[in-house]
Amino acid sequence: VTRARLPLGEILDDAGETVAAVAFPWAGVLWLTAIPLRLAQAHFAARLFELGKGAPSYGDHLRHLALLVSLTLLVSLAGRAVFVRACGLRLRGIETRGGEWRVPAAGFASYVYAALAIEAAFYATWVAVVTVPFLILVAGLAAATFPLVDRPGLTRPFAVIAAHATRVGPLLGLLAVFAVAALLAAANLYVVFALGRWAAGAFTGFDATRWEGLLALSNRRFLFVLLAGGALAVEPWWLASLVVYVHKLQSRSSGEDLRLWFERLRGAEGAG
Amino acid sequence: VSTCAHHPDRPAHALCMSCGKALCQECANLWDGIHYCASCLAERRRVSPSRRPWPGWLAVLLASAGLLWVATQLMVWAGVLAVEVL
Repeated sequence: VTRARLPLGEILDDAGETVAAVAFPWAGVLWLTAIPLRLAQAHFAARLFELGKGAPSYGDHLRHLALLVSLTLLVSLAGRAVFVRACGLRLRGIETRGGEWRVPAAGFASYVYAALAIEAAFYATWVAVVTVPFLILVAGLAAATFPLVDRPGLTRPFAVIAAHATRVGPLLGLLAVFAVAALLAAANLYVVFALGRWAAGAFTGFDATRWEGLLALSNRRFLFVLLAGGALAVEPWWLASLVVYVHKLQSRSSGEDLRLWFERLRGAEGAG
Repeated sequence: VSTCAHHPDRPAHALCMSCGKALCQECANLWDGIHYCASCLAERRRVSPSRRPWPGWLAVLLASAGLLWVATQLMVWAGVLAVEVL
């Protein structure tokens, strides 16, 4: 039974239930802390393409923008940690009043360190395209496993990630599902902007030509904002899915799921 | 319905996440959001302080500060490379 499969559909169903249960206010905390990061990333990418071939001459300017992205990443990591803790408490059936904020310090410090290492690896190796999905997955697992890191250390967070990256099938399935979901969310966001532009056209004084140019896919800045919005929209479900995956893996390897199953059986027998 | 390992007359309220014993409300100790029995909790509290975690803290804080700087530099390098490649 400990080798039992982890069906992707089951993980997604449980993640959907978990997000619905913790959405208010914890998905809000996650989004509020992630919006500055996604907007800073979109601005950095748009600025790079505006500068074009002349970008190397604007090193200081780009470094300031990159530092802004890194600092907003730290804020976003705090939001992710609180959200992951809220999901974990919910999955264990623990109800606390504000306990979601009490993120374990050792786990969080190790998470920040691991996330920055993954971020650096991402920028250093993005040219080898295959590393990108792998590092996105590792970054997600770093968030989902940080509560299990009980003491700070340089290798400890990666050892915990490796110990939970044993089921390749469900992990690759989650990655594929959420890549498609992020693109669909970005496409939906585009439709929302287009509808907004169309509705605003009914008002006099609305400069339709200007907004058509700004909200067109040929405008790189708008395209990056759409992609950032797509990533932002699916983030709670992505993180919750990985928390559910880690929770299921842990409960199966510890036999906790078996104990609960026997409890349910005995309860049903008693009722019968 | 299962009963407490220490009080057979009481229904189980939680399971110790360390030894797996069923515990009643009185015997269940919540520590960092996880239930433990008294002996497992005492064991955890006895082991934790003796590990002297400060070298680990120092290493993680220094490494994080270094990685923040490295990630920022690499972001600019990767961005400039992306503009040239794409």
